[in-house]
Amino acid sequence: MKHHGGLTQIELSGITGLSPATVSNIVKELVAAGVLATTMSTRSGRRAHQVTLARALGLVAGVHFSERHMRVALADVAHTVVAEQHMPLAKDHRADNELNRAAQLITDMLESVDATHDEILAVGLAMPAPMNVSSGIITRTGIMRGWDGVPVAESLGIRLNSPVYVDNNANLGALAEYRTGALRGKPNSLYISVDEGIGAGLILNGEVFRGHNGTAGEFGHMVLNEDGALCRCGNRGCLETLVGGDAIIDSVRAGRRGLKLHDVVVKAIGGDAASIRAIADAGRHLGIAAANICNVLDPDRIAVGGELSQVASCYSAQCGMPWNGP
Amino acid sequence: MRHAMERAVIVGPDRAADLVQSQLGARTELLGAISFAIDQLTIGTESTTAQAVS
Repeated sequence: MKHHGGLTQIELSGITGLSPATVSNIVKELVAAGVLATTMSTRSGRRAHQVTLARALGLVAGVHFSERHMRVALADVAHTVVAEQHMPLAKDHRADNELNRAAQLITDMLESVDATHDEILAVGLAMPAPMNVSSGIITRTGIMRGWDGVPVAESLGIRLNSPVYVDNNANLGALAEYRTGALRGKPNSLYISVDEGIGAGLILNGEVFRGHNGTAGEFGHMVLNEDGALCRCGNRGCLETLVGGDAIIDSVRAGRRGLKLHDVVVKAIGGDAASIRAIADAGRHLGIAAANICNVLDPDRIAVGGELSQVASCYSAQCGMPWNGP
Repeated sequence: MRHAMERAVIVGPDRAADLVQSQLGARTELLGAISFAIDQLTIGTESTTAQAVS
C-alpha cells in the first residue's frame, strides 16, 4: 500500500498472490486497527473496494530543490497532496537560507491544514546533485557550491524535528514516473530531467538503481568531448556543458541580458527561430547521450521531464521526435 | 532527440526505447520525494500483517 497509494482488493489479491477471501479478512482486520481505510470506487465499470492507508496515520512532507526553484508539499500516507507551495530561488542559492525557507513553508502549510509538526512522520527531500543517501551530503563538491559539505537531511531534520530522507532529484523523478506516471509498468526504464541541470534516474528490475556510491544516473556529467568546455563538476565536455541551462542561454544570449532558461522555452514556444534552434541542437546531443545509455542498459522506455520537456513541439518539429506522452 | 538516438542505438531504430514526455510534469520530483518518504515509514502493524499473511 505504501508503494501504490490505493488498490482495489482484487488488485491486492493479484499482487500478493493471496485469495480474495484472505485479502478481505486482512483488510477488515487492518481497517478495524485504524491502519487501512476503504472506499467504494469503480474499476472497469465494476464497483470495487478501494483500499488505502488510513489518512489519520499522519502526514509526510516532500521538498524538491532545483537550481532555480523550490517546491514543498504535504501529503497524507495515501499519497494525496493536501497543501503545496512553490517559489523561485536565486541562482547559486545557499543551504542555510533555503533550508530555513523550506522549514518555514512546511510550518505555514501545517497551519493551513490545521495540523502540527508532531503529525509529520517523515520528509522526503529531492536534491539536484549526486547524494550520499546515508550521510545526506552531496558527494561531489562544486556542483552546488552553497551546499558543499552540508549534511542536508540532518540539517532539515533538526529544523523540523522529523526524520528526513534525501536522494537525487532524478532518482525520485524516476520513482514517481514508475509508480504513477509515464514509466508505470516499465520495470527497466529511465527518467531524464532536462532543466538548468541534466540528470537521469534509472529503474532496473522495478527498483531505483543507485549504484555502488549512490551516484548512478549522473547523465549530465557523461563526458561527450574530453577537450570540451569546463563543467562545474571539474571535468571537460560533460553533456551539461552542451545542453544545460547555461549552455542553451549562452547560445541565444546575443544582446539579451538577464535571460533565463524559462525565457528561452517561452520564446521557442512563441516561434523564436534562435531559441528553437538552440533547443533542437540540445535535443540532438541528448539523443546521442540517451543512445549511449540505451546501448548499456537497453531500457524499455525513456520519459523526459524538466523545463525543456515543455517544448515538445520544438523537439517534434525540429528533430522528428514522436512525443508519445499525454 | 529521437533521430539522434535512433541513429546511435545498437538495436536499431525499430527496437529503440520509447521516448515519451513525463506525465507528472513539474511536480515529478516532488511526488517522488513524497513516495520516498512514505517508503521509509514503518506502519505500526506491518509485523502483524506479515504474521497474518504467513
